[in-house]
Amino acid sequence: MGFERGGRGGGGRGGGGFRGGAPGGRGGGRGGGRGGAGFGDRGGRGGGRGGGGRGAPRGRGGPGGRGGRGGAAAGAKGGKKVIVEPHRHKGVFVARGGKEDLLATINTVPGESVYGEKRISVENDKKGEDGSTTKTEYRIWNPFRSKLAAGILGGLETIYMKPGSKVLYLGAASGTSVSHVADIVGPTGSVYAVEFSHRSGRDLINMATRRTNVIPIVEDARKPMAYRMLLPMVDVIFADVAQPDQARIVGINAKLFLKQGGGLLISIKASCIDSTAPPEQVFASEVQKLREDKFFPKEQLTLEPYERDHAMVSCVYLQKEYQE
Amino acid sequence: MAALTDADIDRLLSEAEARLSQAGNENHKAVTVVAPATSKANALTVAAPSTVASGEPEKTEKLSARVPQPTKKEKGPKTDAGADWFHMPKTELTAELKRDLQILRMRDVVAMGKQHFKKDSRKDFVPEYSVVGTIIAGATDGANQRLTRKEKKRSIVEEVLSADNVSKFKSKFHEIQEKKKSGKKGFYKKVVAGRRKRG
Repeated sequence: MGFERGGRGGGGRGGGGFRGGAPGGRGGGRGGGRGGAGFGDRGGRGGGRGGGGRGAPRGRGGPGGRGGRGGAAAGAKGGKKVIVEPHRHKGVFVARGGKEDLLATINTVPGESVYGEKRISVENDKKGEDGSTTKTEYRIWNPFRSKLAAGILGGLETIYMKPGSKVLYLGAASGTSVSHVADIVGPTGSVYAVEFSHRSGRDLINMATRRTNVIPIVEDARKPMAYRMLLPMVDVIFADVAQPDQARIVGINAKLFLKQGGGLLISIKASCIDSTAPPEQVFASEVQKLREDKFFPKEQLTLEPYERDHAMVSCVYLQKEYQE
Repeated sequence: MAALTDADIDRLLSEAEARLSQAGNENHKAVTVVAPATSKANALTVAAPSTVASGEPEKTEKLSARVPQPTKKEKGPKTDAGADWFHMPKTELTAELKRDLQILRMRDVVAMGKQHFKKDSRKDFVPEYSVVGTIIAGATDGANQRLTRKEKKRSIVEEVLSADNVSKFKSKFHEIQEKKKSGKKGFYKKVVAGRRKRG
């Protein structure tokens, strides 16, 4: 049986259940990493949105409410069996099912999903103190809704965060991705989630009420002095602010809060910085700005097919190598 | 006081140790000596740090007041994936799970050419750490995102076998068998067919 593997562009990621409108050639970016078989997501991004005009006009400080982003929930139906394994990155898991592989994080609040995502329930062998079966839960992480998940599937070499890390998350929005980051760092770590928009800050705070390792900060990320009293030095900054001056925003936050040798993951949306220039040029100029802020860029990857004209850049602050 | 360099501090400490070890019973005197000695040393170090550093190593080796103790790593059979993966347990390989893992490796075949998967390149198809779980649909997911009670199965193999394309698997199986099997009746038939062609 000769399987035709053409048309999907080999590359890092291997085929999978992408029935949705994932545009054109996949698997550009980097190979390597752990591809895993198709991380499936039906529906994909909804059609009909042009490149530039996506989403409503946004407030400052972070992407505003991203209601309804990212089609239907991940493929596997409720009731299906999956095998959960550790992912290459610490604190991340892969759920392998009969039809697709899914990214997952452990659920620190068992029994609840944050934004209607699917969960995976696992019965433990160890019995509880009263002899009842205990359960562990995982939450499925949709790469169409989270740029970090898209970056992981794209094959990021390192995500810098692991259980116990302190993460500064700029542009937290409603806290969907933040909830997964909070699960990765676990109860020993903490996530400082900064979001400027009150509308989505409200959802963020609601989420944070159940996850005590999330510190929601509804402030302007351009003015880090406003929240300096809330933050210790952090190990990682994750930035998803989509602002023209995002390199500067990240720079001033790093100066105040990022430890030497700490990591930075920044998602760059080309159309938010300069919608007239070609994306590659925009990415290059942003990376140059980061260099001037004493970041050492390590890798850059496109977030295709999950996001259009987005790049994820990973950097180390003030020194060449990342320090664990 | 001027900032002390590492070499200074090391030297001062070793001096102090030497003093302590020789002092023994005359503690009081030792203490009185210490303060002026260090201040002198500070003044001296600026002038000639290199000479002091060279004479230092053999001194520290003799002294046993400070013995560096390397942190011992706990070694033993790993029972779980560790704190980095929230203590995920080791794979408990039952016959059922083994078959599930085998079918995961053959997903390409199960999909019957309708879906393609990256080849699983790992040597051992049994992961070191894993658990089997059940997907729970989200609260807002509709009926098409849930299995009915009858459709729910206990393992991935059962899910595959309960799907309505089992007959396709069977026909595919026989197709391959016809092509590849050797000996027995099929062999004789081939021989006869060959003869007919020639004749």
